[in-house]
Amino acid sequence: MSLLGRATLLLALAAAVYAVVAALTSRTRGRRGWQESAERAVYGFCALMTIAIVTMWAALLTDQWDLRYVTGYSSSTLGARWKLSALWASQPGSLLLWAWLLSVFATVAVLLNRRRHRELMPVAVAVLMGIGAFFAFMLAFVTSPFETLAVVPANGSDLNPLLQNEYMVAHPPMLYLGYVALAVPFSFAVSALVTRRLDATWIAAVRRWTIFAWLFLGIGILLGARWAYEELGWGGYWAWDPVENAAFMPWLLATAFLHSVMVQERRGMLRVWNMVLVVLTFVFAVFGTFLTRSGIVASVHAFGESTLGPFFLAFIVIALVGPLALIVSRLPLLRSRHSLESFASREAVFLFNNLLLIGLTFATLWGTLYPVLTEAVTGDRITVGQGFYNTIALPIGVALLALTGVGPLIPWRKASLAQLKRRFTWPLAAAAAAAPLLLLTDAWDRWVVGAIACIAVFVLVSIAGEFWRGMKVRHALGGVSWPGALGQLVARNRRRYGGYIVHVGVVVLFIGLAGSRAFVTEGSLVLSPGERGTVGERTFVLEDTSRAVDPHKMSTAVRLGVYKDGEREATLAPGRNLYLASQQPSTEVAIDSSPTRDVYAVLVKLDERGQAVLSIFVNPLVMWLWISGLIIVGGGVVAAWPARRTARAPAEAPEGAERRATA
Amino acid sequence: MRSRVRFIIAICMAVGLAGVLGVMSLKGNQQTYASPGALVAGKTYRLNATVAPGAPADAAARAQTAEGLRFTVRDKANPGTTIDVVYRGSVPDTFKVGRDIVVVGKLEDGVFQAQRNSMIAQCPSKFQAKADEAAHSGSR
Amino acid sequence: MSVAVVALVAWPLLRREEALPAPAPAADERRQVQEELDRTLAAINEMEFDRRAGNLSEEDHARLDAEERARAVELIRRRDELGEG
Repeated sequence: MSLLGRATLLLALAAAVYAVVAALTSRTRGRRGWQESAERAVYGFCALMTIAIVTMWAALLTDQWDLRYVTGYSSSTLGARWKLSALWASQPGSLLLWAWLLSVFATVAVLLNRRRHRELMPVAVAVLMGIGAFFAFMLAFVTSPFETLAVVPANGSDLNPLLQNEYMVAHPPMLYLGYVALAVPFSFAVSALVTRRLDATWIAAVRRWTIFAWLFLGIGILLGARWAYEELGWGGYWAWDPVENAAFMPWLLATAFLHSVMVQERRGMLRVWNMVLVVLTFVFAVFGTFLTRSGIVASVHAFGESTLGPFFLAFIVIALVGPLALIVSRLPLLRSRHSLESFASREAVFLFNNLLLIGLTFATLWGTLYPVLTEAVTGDRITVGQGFYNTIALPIGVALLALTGVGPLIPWRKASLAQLKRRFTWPLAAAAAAAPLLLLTDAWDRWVVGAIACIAVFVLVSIAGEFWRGMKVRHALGGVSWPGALGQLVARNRRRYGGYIVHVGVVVLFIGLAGSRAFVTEGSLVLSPGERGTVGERTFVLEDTSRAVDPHKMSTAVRLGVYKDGEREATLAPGRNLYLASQQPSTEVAIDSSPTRDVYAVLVKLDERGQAVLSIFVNPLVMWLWISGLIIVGGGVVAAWPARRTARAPAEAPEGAERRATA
Repeated sequence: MRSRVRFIIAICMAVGLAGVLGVMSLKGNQQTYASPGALVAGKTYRLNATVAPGAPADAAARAQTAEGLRFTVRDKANPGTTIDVVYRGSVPDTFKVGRDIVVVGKLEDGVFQAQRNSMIAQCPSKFQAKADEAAHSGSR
Repeated sequence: MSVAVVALVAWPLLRREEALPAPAPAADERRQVQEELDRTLAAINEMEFDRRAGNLSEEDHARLDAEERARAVELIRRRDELGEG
């Protein structure tokens, strides 16, 4: 199997290199045939990578202990689905996943665009396959997943129990779908620069890819947060760890791009800015992979020292400097068609949104790399605490939240004062009215939370107004029912209303963040069976304890009754497992979720006499984080959903605008 | 042209703002990575060291008690240098003798008083951990 | 397997050039103009919608609409110059 895997990777490398050469050759006149040949090499690369990854999976499933990788991350008693997920438990495996996804995306990109964007294809294929060649090279020569062991052990050393979790099965592939999909916009941007076809064409080709990548990055980040929440047992979900930041930064940049690209489409502005954003987003995605897989920054998830560093660094420098140099050389072609007419315009709002997102990205980058920088300068590794990120992210986050409400209220180009007054009245009035109502809850215990709640109301009313006025127009136009009007409204302008749905999700996200960060109740209990203890306003009764052994692990668990105001509220069963192959304990957190609060219990220890040590957290509003994820994904899907072809037909042109305009 | 000037001003403002925020935040939040030998009393550190033999097996439970979890760590490069750590809060599952950990805290009266819930245990996946150990012992 | 890949990849090179679809820069250009026109028409559409919804005042709409329409006219002229492709 090792031989098969290695041979396929070498062939894949050859296919990728050939594709680069052929694609570039096809740019010369009279050599169009080379382009088709290069495209077929892309398909070949995809087929070979598929064989490689299937081989690896087969090796994991069939316990091929002669492979170092299988021995290091699997064991004979491991369940089949964890065996499959062991592929992304480590460096070589996740690089294999990266390369395979790239080959699939490259194939899809070629199939979708080979006729529509023929001029852009040669360079785009060359760039994509250049990236593919880099990863194939790493897999073939630097960090091979198919390395064999001289002495074949009888069993593997098992998958890290922390990774034996549903969310960890899904989290890395989601993140990688996002990271890798960003390679396509990057390749088209570079191609547009090289071929000087810098009109809106390349933007049209990459917009949907970016939404796709953005969506999966977001899902990946949320799954990671959920994993940390359920598996790590410290009651939280986000700690500004370098690996979290690594996914967060490209997501922020993709968010910035999705907004600024609208300014370019509508007004022909920010063209250089968009180029830079696309390049940066991809570079940060590669950097994210590098950061999580190289161990240059100390992190919870560090994969140990590695030999990848210099290669990745060189790759990042090329991917950054090359396109930036191209941008500089094409500056005259990238001049804006229009200029900013007023700060009271939608494009100005987008500009502020972009500046804030970029600011947050670089603050995060600064904090992440601070230990590396200080070590280089002073010799000491100095790191920044979570406080650094929180002080910066809070004001920027609140400002961004406010902008999501302001944006829809301000028209493109220039707004008259009277118009602005009219549009802001309702949302502002609603926010002002909400302030005293919030006094009834405990939101104002922390003024920041109260302020966030008011802004949230402002944004929600502003978005609801958009939907309402849109529905009124639709309803008035043709005798459709109100729900029908809503459906039509969204279907006719998916991007706009999908975007609004995402914004609603963002509001919900902020509510969840504010509630769960500001009002945590925490306590620890030591209980013998039958005893009770109190944390906050809740009483916990230890009702039962249990122990069990299976071939794979030894587990202990307790049953806790949760009482509030004398009434039974929930039953929790936190546990603790000891994995036999690795002799590593693993906490099984028990969570009782409801829209208002999560009761979160960790079994720290269960001793021989049945005495249990427990950590208890009561986290308000956490459920809304996951709900916001669903809303954001739903909105993203609406925005990315391809419009039906008929929607483009001339019959849909506004009141014969085309005819009238010609006349 | 006027719009370009405005644009540049806006960018400068953003950069300036980020810079100010950055400097301000760093002031209050800097923690130097240090090994047990390099600690000075009264300053906040991220202590990066290896858990020395003798750490209790029920570490997680002890860290929940009022007295806290008390254990010894040794310098990664120079195993002779050790220091005692007192820690309260959640203990990562991967905590055990020989693991590299990071805790945030201050040196007080010769004992490293760690902040609540500040412990991170580095969890390298297994075979690479072994490879690392081999590399380290080889270099020594 | 690898033989099949090599054969597939090499096939387009062995065919004669004439067999391939000729590149048509005019058609590409025309399609790009058409796409930009579609976007302009969509913008006009959206502004009309925003006017009716009350998001844009009549004066603002009149000014913006005139400019977008002028752009649409220019694009239609260019598209027609490039022929029906």
